Amino acid sequence: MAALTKQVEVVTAAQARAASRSETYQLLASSFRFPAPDNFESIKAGNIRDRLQQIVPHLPYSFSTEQMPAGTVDLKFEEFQSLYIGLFEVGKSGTAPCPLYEGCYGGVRSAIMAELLAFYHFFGVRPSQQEPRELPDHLSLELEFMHVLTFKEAEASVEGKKLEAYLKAERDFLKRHLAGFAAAVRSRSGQSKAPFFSDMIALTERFCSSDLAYLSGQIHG
Amino acid sequence: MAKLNLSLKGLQIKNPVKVDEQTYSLKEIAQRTWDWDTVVKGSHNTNCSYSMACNMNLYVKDGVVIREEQVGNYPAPNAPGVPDYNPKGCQKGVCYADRMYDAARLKYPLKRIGVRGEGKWQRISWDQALTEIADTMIDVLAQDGNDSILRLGSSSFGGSSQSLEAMNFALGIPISSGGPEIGDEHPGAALSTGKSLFGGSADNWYHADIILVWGTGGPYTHLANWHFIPEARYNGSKIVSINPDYNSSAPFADLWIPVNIGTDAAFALSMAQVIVQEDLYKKDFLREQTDLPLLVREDTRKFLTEKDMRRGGKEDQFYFYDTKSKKITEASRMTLKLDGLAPALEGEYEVKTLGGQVKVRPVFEYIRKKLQDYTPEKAQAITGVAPEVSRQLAREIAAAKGVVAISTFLWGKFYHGDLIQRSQMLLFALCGHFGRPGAGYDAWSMFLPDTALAGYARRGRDELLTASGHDPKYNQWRVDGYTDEMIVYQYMNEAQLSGLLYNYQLLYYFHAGQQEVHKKYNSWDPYLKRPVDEYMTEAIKKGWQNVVPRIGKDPKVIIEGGGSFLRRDRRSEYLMNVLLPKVKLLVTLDFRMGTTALYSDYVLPVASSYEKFQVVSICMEHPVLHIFNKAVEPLAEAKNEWEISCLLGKKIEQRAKERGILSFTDTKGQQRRLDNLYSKVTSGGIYTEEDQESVSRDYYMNATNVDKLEWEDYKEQGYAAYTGVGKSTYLGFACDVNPNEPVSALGWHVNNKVIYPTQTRRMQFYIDHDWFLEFGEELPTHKDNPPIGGNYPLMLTGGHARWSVHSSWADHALILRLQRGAPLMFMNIKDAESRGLKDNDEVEVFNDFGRFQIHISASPSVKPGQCIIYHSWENFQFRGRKHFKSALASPINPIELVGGFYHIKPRSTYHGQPGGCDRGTRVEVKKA
Repeated sequence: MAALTKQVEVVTAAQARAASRSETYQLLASSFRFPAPDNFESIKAGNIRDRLQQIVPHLPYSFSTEQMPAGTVDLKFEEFQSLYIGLFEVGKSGTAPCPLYEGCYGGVRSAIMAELLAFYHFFGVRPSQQEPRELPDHLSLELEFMHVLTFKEAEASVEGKKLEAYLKAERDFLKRHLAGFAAAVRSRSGQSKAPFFSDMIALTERFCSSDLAYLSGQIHG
Repeated sequence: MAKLNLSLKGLQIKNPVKVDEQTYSLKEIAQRTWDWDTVVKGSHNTNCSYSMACNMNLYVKDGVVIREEQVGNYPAPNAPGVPDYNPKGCQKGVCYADRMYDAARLKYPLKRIGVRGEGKWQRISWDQALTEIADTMIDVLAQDGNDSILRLGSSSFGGSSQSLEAMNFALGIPISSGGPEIGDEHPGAALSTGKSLFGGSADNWYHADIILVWGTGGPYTHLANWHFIPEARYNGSKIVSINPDYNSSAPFADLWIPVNIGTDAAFALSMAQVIVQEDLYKKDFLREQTDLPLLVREDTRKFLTEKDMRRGGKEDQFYFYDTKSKKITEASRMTLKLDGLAPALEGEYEVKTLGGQVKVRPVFEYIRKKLQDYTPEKAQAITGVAPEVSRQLAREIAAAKGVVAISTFLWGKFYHGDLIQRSQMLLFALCGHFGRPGAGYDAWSMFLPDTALAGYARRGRDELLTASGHDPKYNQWRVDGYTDEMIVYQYMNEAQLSGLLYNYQLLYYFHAGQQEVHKKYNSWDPYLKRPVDEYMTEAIKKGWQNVVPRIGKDPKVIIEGGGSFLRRDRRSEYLMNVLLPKVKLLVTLDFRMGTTALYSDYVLPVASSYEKFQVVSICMEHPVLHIFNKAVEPLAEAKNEWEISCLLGKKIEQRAKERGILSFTDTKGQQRRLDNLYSKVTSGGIYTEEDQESVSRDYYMNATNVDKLEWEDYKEQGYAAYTGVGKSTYLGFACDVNPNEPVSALGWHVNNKVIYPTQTRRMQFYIDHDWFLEFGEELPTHKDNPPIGGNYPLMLTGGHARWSVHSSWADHALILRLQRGAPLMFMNIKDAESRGLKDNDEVEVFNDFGRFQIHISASPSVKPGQCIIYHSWENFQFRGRKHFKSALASPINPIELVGGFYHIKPRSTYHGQPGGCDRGTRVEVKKA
């Protein structure tokens, strides 16, 4: 088994489908990392929204682009960051309204993290040991892991290898973790005063749900 | 889309990759959840002081603790057949990893950008946080002095030597004197013995004939050690639960005595009356160990002293009547040995004094007379306990080889808790149940390493070790027969009165509106002959108590760490509305967003118990010293307290130099330098901020009373056994501590005849201080709990919860799932029905002082007229953040202001100073 490469050439339609899914997961993952000035400027400029609109037509299923994330034109970076903190990190009741950790939505946190680590390690990645380190069940990591799996799927396709293991892993990971997690986050984000984030949560939940439905149709057992 | 890039930020590629990904299956994944990189010994501060710290195995994968379990490697007791402490742990400890990673975890420094409590934050760098905090502290030090900065909370979360104490001492920042904040004290035990703390180990219970679980929630509080109780019962011990409600100890008991709330003094005295009347008391013990043979003047009600009989005579030379020589005889001040003398417990004698002939009688005679008011029949009207029950238990206690009382900090929380505990101590003294296996009264069974550098212990211990060369008082004390224990207490008193330590109740009285509360509600205590403020003025004027900051100054900076005063302390509204507006800067160090953090100006994220080294300075009922190993790196930007302390010291020094403020004048008029602060914090540069493990190691290695393992062996084993009481507050145990043997306090007094640290140098039940005489409290007596809160029919009590104990778990999702998940008040089912309430209704609870809303559990196990709210809910778990402590006025009982009197004077910790009193607060309830 080779180590991950950093780039694959996408040629066929099937590879393009996997690639579009992979890039969508990567963009979603970047949206839930702690805001930094550069990604704020990118968001403010509408780059994420624009890129998603370019990718969506390549997805292997129909996906509405009507509810793309709102802009943040009226906000300063500090305000944007404060909204992120208040929604995802710490709240008026100790816990934030929408924590971005899967284990905060039921189950046993440590068991959830243990399984996530098992997934990550099996497919050759691990939580970064560089700052800022995040816990294995952070939404951005789970989305990024789907980016990895779909990247591997595209890579396997380019290399003529079997795809089944990746498709199954993607389905299982969504089913056991990410899809339900995203839905749980969305259920708590209804009252958010941060339109960009609530829109991103809604988009993520819809995308994970659509992707899971797609994968369930692709593989059996 | 010709190219697809792999872009990783949160994940990284793991090398080497050895897995054939084509073999993927969920079964493979499930099996791999049982992989881990390392197993490390760890522990945590989970369960108050009781059962705090259990040895755990931590399973670490990729820098994350993925599971924990009890180790179970404590050794077997030396005596065959005696149970051991394994497997020690509880439901909180085994989900600590869940707690430390949960959604309330703090990851980076936060600065408030909204109003206090609004929850609007800006993430800032450590450098910005420390710079802004340092600048405000320098301003306040320069303009207001060091007593306008207060360190609240405790050092328990960081380990005594590893927290902020070094910086506090360098700057002279006052630190809390501990438990009086919330009534965590044993006032009656302290008045009777002169000790701040003493008790026994949990395995000592096993050796008792009778175990009195008196005023404690049993397994709720003593969860990890509670197994000794059923084990003792199977071994033949009788378990007696003495609690108003059918609490968690009652199902384990042979006998449950539902004494009325706050009437335990009357119950204890009724049993004492039976024991005296039926001549069941241990006369030799009383003659030798107690003040009961000492003579008291009938005219003044004061002890007969040498000063009465000779000009220039000692005020603390006391007398008894020797039945052998038939003479009034000096009671030895150097030893309890009687050397053939036979002090009388009874009789009336004539003595020639400088003022003429006076009648004197032994204390025992006064007690016997007092007890006539507490025959079981008379006491029944107070306690609700049937006379035959009192008589039977009294006879059994008197006949038993050994009786232990498992008590907690409850009595300190009653307005007259000192009287309750003095009465209990008298009962035990009458039967001589001290100082041997299977006997003893637990008045805070806390084992401490004598390097405990928390302020309260440090002052005594350090100064004791160095005093002989520096302090002329030291030799004078030695000549006068002072023991190490007495000298430690002297230095602790000096520390308290110097302003190095402060008392919360006095802080709140003068700086958080409590003075006004007392003026408004002075009528609550019908026994008071003067307004509380008059007693307060006198106590301060006479130097008995010390107020920090000085009256007229405001607290300007509060640094909270290891506690949460806005959640924990009573009178919540006053703290929010009177105290906080005076405070320019409130900084909280915590690992999670609790109530005080929520209202802070800066929140600094602290490493959790698994993310740092720490020698656990406190362990209750189990004489071993645990260690926290640093199993994983702190999450995100969290730092351990030692590092924070060093960095803040360094930053203050840097900013002081940059601003040209190189020193400030402290409250004693001395100049304190700021330009060498980092050196002071780091013990002259011995350590750096990176050296938390070294600090922990030295803390352990420098203790004189702990089994010395190699540091790496200690880390691997997870604990080390105590080998003695050392030279700290723990001296109060006054007994040998041998590994794998039960610990029973006071053995040095009972067996070696070492004097007690009291006025009479004996266990003391008569207190002839003017105020005690004025209050009618010179002897143990019963007083009704005052109607704190007003004239309402229900009495509010509380205690440790089954599920949380302290707030570290109060809002944790896993633990909340095991209960109703929100604040809850238990009340008797008939009390609920008579108010039209049913189980789980939301009610409004109110009194003259405050109101709050809460759901009820209507339960037959609660005594009629009683309501119970177990702590420690966070304010934000209540509607409108109105905590139930909003209705707890927690008045000061002026008798606790007495000081300057032998063993009755403030000394950290938990002694001789006013404490919070809220048990039995009156309330009414209606549907919300």
